Amino acid sequence: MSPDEIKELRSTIAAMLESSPDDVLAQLDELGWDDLVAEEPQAAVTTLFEEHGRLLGRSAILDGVLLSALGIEADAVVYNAVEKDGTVTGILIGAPGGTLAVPALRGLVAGEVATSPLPNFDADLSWSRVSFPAASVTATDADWDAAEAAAQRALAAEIVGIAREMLRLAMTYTSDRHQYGHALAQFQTVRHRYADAHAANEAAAALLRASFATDDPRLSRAAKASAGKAAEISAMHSVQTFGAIGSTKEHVLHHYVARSAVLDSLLGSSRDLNARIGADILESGTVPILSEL
Amino acid sequence: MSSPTEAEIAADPELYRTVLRSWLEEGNADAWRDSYREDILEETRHLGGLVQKLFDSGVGAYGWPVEAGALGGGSRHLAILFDELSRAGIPIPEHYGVLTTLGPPLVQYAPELAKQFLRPFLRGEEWWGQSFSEPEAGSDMASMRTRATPVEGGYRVNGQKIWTSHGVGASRIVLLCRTGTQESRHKGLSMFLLDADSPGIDIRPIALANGRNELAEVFFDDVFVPTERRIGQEGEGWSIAMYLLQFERGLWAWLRSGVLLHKLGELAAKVEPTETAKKRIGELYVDVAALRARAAETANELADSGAVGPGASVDKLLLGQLETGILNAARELLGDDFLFGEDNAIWRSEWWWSRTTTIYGGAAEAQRQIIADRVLNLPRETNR
Repeated sequence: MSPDEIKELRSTIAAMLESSPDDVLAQLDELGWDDLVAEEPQAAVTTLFEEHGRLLGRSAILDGVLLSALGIEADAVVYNAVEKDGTVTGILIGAPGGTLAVPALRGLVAGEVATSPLPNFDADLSWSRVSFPAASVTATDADWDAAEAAAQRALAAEIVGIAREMLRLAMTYTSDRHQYGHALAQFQTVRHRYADAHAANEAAAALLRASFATDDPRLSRAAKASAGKAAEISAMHSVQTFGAIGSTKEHVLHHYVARSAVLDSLLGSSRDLNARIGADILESGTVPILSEL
Repeated sequence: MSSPTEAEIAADPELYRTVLRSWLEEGNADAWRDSYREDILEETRHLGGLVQKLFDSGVGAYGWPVEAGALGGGSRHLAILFDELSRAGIPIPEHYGVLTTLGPPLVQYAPELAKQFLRPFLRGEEWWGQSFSEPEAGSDMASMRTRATPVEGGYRVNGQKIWTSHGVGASRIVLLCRTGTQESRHKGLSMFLLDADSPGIDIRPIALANGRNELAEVFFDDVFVPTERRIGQEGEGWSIAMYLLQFERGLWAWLRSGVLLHKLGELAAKVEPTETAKKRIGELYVDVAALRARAAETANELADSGAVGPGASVDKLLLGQLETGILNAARELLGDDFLFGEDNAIWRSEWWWSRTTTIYGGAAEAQRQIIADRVLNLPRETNR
């Protein structure tokens, strides 16, 4: 897609997310989303999820990415599933009920699922906690690695969208706010923080673009880890340079800080993914080479 | 299938990749796998042998114009050369770093000089030094004082340069100096190609803390340089330097990212698989992969449009963070094995060298400044 076409797609998506945030899936269908993803996966997925992040969308479109890559009929996805003493607990973004895909266990579960409200670092989100007996999970043959990778790329895009927005908000604010007779953004320490955040955000965005060009799931993990780190850096510098206002409920910044943190936790946090990638390298003795220009 | 012609390879970078890769797979470069030498002059000469072999067999002669004695092709060929060498685990000779920076401005602004002088450099028989920095002009290049004064048939150069990489043993010096008034700042600069053995040039090694003479001071005492050795017009030095920096920032980050990927693999092979090591190695891999993705985009932009914008400072900033980051990880994960004993002399040596990577070519602080000013368009910095 040309830069102009992407720009147009971006504003179409933004308008859609702003006008009907609770009806995103139907709207995407109307847009002919599946065809677009089939033709231009990188441009389509990154644009949608960057905007979903930037506009703090709460829809379960992530489930859609994972399930369609899986090619299995299911109603929602259980994230971060952990098994203990025969019971599995996990997180549900979508509505409870029906058949649930459990990527961590490579299987499906239907029925016997208990649902409860989930207190969340991001108080805007009404995700639920689910729990069910491990024995009720039916192991299912599918390309789970590829499906996870697709969802990790989508998450990376959403997190990059949020990271860029935090940086933009902070730069706008400190370009207007004057102290000691100057705009805050005129002070070197502030400017250098933003340069570092920008470098981290754009490195993550470049790795994300590259991860669409390969089937190697390790690159999608790396892209998500990179995005998580970038958001942490952008959040740190934005919160600091906003001064006290940035930590108030009244101000919008906390929404982005919290949202990027909880999205980072899904399908492997940046720290977990780093450790997993490192373990792969140390065990296999090979470093995945990216040689495509 | 008949073997492709030189013109076909020059026109098709991916074909070049195939040809080069099979040449490397035949083991032609294997003799250079372990090229580290305590004496840097010895190491550079040794690696010059690899440059020569690559050039003479043809696979190292792409990326430079036919007029300069090479086989044609563009900067994408160079990017592929660096890529395939690091993929094969062969060290990238230092010659290429300097060539990639100094070659393009010569070809662009002084094609006659390129025709006359570039070939021995391309062939690894010689290497050149880049003399830009001065004791009173580091990242602040526009305040340089070394001066070329017009005389009959050329100029007389007087002054002092410092931090010239591989200055010791260099055959020629690419000099940026003042031809206008001191007040003219960046407008009054010009660039020259000097023979290092010209009367009045004195090159003195600077040992880095690792003991290697990686850098040099270059003194100019009434050195005559003929007019035809000027690169570009008088007063054009700053724009040529800016042109050159695009390659230094654009292609260099790509070249080094391949080296760093390889270096990370070497480190991984040496450390115990502790939880700390997994996290450190994993995070560094993610960062190198991101830099590499970014640098590939920049290298493509350079190949397609012949220019990269201020965004290349992002690549440069990330590169410095990783050069230091990987060597810091080596020091941390190898512990006593890093500090003591014969086995890890190369890691100790490179740790010191990595400290210079956030300084040379414009310090990290100067890169942040460029990003803040010209990429993020923040209001201008206050002097407070």
